[in-house]
Amino acid sequence: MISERDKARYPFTTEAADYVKKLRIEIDDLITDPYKPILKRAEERIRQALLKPDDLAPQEQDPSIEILSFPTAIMLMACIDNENVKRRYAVAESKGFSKKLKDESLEKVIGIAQGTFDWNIKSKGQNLRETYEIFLHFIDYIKNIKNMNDLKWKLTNRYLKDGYVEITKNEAARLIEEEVQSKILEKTKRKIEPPKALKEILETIKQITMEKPVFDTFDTPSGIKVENMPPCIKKLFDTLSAGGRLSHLGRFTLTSFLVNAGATEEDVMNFFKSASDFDENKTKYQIEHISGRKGGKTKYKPPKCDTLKTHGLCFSPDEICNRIAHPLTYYRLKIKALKK
Amino acid sequence: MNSLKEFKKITQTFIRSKFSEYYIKNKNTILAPSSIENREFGFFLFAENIVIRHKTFQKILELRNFITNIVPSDVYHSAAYYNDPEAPMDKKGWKGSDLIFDIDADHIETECKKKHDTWSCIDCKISGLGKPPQYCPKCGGFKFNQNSWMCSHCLEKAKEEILKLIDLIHLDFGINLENIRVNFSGHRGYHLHIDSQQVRNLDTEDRKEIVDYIVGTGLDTNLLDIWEASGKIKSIGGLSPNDPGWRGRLAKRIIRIFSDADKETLKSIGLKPQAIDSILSLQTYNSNTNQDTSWRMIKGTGKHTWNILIQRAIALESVGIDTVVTTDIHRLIRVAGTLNGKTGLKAMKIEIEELPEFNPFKQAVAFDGYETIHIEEAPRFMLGDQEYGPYNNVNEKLPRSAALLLLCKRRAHPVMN
Repeated sequence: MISERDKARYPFTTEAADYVKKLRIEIDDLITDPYKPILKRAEERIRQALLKPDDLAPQEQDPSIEILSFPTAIMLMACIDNENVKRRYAVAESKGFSKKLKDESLEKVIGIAQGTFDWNIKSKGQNLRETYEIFLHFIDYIKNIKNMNDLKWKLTNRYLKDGYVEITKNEAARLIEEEVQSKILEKTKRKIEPPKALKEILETIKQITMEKPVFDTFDTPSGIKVENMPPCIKKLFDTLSAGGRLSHLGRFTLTSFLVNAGATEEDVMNFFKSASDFDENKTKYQIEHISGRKGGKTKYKPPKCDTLKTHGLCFSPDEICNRIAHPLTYYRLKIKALKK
Repeated sequence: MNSLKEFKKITQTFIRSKFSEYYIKNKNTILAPSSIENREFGFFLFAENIVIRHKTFQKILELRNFITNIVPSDVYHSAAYYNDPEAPMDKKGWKGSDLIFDIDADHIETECKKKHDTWSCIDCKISGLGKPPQYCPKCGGFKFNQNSWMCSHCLEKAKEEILKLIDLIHLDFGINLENIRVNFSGHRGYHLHIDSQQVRNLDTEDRKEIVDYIVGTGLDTNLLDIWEASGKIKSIGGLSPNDPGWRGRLAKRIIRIFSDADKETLKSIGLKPQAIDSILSLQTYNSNTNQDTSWRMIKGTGKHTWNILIQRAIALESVGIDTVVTTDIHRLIRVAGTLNGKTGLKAMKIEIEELPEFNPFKQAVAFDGYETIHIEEAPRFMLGDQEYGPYNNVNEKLPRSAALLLLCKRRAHPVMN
């Protein structure tokens, strides 16, 4: 059973959404006095998520305000015309929820997974290894590991039998985080014409989004055409362009590819600026080392195809890929073919 | 004297007439994919470079009649389901796709390829045996014509792979055998279709994850818990033959490597003499019980040795699928019950229980009767119960299926009376 307090803590659940629906609150209501606390809390949610995500915590004194502030915040984010900001919001909110979920009982975690996300779960089946608590169907599992970089998440490294993957409660919470993140992203993606009643608060939120520099346009460095990139590099490029995160090796691969394909350090730097977790000094240091200007003075090359395969970074190899062993060879072949 | 181009045309017309006779007689053996009305169909015609795509049929009868009338060289259907299969690609409305796997001898390393496969550089025309190199050694070009041959050894290897794949799909992924369909491609391999609501909506990335599992990509040996037990003995703790997934497969495979081992094989994979001696001194290993732990602690096996063994086991357990086919959610795949234009053999459905005994060189033969042809060059090959060749510039009267194989492979042309 999901309590009032649970709904406030996990306002993404079906139960919380049903509760909101029953209240039938209109947008114009939000600026009237009785509802103002909701708007205020929604604004606070967004401010924390975008600027101080570690401070995000449910306010449980008045559960109904807390529950309603979530869909309100999402609606406000939908009015903001900036994909990167939306992603940052979704990441912060969903992380906050999964942190809380890890402290809940196994039954509650399973209840939310089944009730809200319709996961196919067999709990506490026979032959389950001690440390694992849940059998999750592989389809629900692979749908939610797309952003995971750690090799422990790869299906290859899991116990898989009869279609079910063994996972721990904490892993389930982490996978729910992914579900929530895509749910928020999907909802904030719907283009909403900003309601007149919310003009004022939207102005405030726009101010909040400006407090951290966000780049939402992309230039391909030094005329390196995306269509000439091998599929693995293109995937890394697209992930970063969409505001996603890259693993250390993914970042190294992309940077060294761009540098070796002739991009200037400045171009690469500008390109990375739009990453959601951009750190100017760190990125500068990395680029300078990879290009051989600092440190060992050797110019680093991206890893070979074999290494990329081992680390799960080889993505949708095409016919050219079958004939090469290194991503840079792919690029040279493409350029050569174009010149012919 | 006929020019090369004319020979080609005469050969095509001849093959087409035989295909036509076949379809008139056997059109009822052409099988429809499920939800035929949501599938796109594609056809290669004998006339060069003509492809008919974006075709749709409401009923299997319509498809059969179309094939009998048009007489294409090859027939394909989409693995995908569309709202409007006839629309251009971006307007079809993708509704899902079967999960498909392609096992092709082209992607499996076999020694005999160096004997029966050839390549030639499109730019400078030089040629060689086996797989084409990355660059032409003479002119640096990277486009090649490949001339492959279907041989029983290569196809036997492909069959081993498809059996391994069925095992994985069924036991690990829990897919019911009723939802698994296996087809012989009519040339160098097998296709496996999973036609189930469960997998239909998987996107490319999801399919990639499944592919990685089947190939064993990304297996992290650090998670396998290799530890030093006491003194010089290093034991492997993270693997047990009873484990589900790759761990169990690796454990069983390592035990098999031990029990089948001979000195030469163990040496060839890079093991040191001490490890080889202790593996051979333990005569029997039992992979069916968890009680047998003798295989875990082999004298002289350190982390290095265990890593060699694990890599070897991964290579042997990995299934040789063409990974691009599985991740492509718009792929076209050969229709069962049609002829393969590269061989004149039948692409056909095989019942899983009959697969181990399936012999494509007998069961996929489509023609009877005889034909006299002029053979330019062909290696020794088997078809039906008979062995043929090698041939070099001769006229021969052959069973029609063997003649068509050589004609389709462009190794021969018809002899005009």
